[in-house]
Amino acid sequence: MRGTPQQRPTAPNDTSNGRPDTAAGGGPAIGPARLWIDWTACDARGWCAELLPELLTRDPDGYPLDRSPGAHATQDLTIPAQLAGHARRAVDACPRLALRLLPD
Amino acid sequence: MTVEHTTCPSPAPTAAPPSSPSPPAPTTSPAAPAASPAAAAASPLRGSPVDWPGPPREPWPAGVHPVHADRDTPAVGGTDGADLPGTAGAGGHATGRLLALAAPDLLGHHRRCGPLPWRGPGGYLLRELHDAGLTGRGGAAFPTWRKLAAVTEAAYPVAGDRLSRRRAGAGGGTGRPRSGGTPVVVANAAEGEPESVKDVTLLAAAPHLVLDGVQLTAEAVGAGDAFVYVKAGSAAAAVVRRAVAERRAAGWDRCVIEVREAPVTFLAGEASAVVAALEGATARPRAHWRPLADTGLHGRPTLVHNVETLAHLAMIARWGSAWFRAVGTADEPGTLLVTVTGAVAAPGVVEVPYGTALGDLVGSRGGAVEPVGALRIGGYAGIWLPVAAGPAVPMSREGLAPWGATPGPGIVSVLPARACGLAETARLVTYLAAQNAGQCGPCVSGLPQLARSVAAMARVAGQDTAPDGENPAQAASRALRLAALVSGRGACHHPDGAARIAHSALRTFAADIRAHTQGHCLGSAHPS
Repeated sequence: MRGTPQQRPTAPNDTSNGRPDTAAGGGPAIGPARLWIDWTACDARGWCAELLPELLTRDPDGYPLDRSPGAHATQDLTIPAQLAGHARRAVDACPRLALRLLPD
Repeated sequence: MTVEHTTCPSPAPTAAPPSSPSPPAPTTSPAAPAASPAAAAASPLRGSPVDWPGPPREPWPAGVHPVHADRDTPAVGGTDGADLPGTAGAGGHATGRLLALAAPDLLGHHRRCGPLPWRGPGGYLLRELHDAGLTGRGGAAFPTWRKLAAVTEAAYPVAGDRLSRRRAGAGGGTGRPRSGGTPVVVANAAEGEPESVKDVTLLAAAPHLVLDGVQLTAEAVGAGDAFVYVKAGSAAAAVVRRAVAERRAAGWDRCVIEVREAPVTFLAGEASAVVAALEGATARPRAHWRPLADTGLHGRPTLVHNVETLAHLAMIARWGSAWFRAVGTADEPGTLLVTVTGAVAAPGVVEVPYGTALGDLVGSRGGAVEPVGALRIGGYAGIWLPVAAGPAVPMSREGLAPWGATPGPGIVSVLPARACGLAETARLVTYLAAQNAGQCGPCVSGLPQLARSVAAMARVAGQDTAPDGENPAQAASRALRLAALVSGRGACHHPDGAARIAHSALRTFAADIRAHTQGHCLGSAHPS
């Protein structure tokens, strides 16, 4: 799953339909969020980059890497609202429990 | 909790506060030396629970000589601070505020500074710090009042407040319970930066000023206990232990202070590493998504302040924000302690107002002993400033911003022109790489790679060839890539610092890289 992210085969529809408690991809609606990475726990398993290829790629060692140019100015990755559900799945899937979604 | 929040220690019967309605210091004469023995006798250390009366009446405490930015040779006070190691010496520079108030014992401290200006909990100190514009002196320059406010809010949240609900996890999907417990205050003098000596110098010279700052902060945030975390084996460690014992015997404090020693590693002073160390774990940074002000030591709201910040705070509490703002610049008021090191006549600590020209700063330590090639601001993880920037560059965030630098933890290192800036950078980055805490993948793997690239960049083509045949220019572009790759990817800012100094070397020593590629070394002196 390296390189440019593919179009998702089933583009997640916005199922929230105005309801405030869900968002695309399921999970609670959190609006724009930050993805916080516990670098001490991260073991370069790469699941997050698989599940969130729009935002993450992997560095030569396999650790998650922000795709956006000029990243790393801040430590946290900004998650647009439409990807929040996928980000939530990446958080839940991380075998090292190294991810966390924070508001803002 | 072992809270010693006795509202007011009852005055000892022998103590006679009424007989000394005005504290011995500040006296009416700013030039006056320490208070007379009679005044001291009338103001015993015990039993002075009276609040500091009214607004500060004198701009300067006794024995302090104002340091003005426009005065090129500030007066050398006849203060005790002048003969402290590393504060005056050959440069014969003024000892400024903090160091002029240096008093090794509690009695001397009381003579100079007067009693602790207890204000009770609440916003008084916060407002004063806000007005003073005091920022953290550990390097990040975060507004001190905001740290205090965050801890207060975490410990005593306002019901229904949006921020505290968010902190408590509501709506964020974080699901963590609110942090709790009594706040704790930590005075940080770990001083892991190898070139810096300002924290231990201050703590050894004016321990009671720092400890006053701890007490006043503890009072303002309602802390139950406090720690002084001091570099192991330093002179300051012994001094502060003695000072704490002295205060305990005199009943001077309201909050219990415990002294702990910090291991001598680069990262021991990082705030989350401080918390880890105080919990008995290895002093390594921790990944924490909530600020330490919310949940730090054993989950309690935790304030970690640099000792210099606390000393300034203790002065602001006594003499007010207007006094504090009398020196420095409008945006960056007050003074800061700077360690001047490298090719200077008398390396050591100097206290200057913000905005002091770097040339004056170096001059205050006797000046450079040989032609200068470059300056480094902010220590190992700082920024190289080309000598062409000139001695007029002010030591302030505003003045250094065009160079991408900040005063950081207050270190100015002078690199002589005959030295090679690239070789020096290689030494620094290699050290930083070795000092990584071994926890975060990108840092563990990236910093040694970065160090190797910078070392390859420092080689002179033809003289000693790199094992992989890479020339210095190629190594430089690899270093640039690696620096960008490690930045921001760790539990702490250690990789960012290593990336910063490497990146800054590429800019400042660009001509050197060219020369190295062509097979010779310029040293760091290059015109323009």
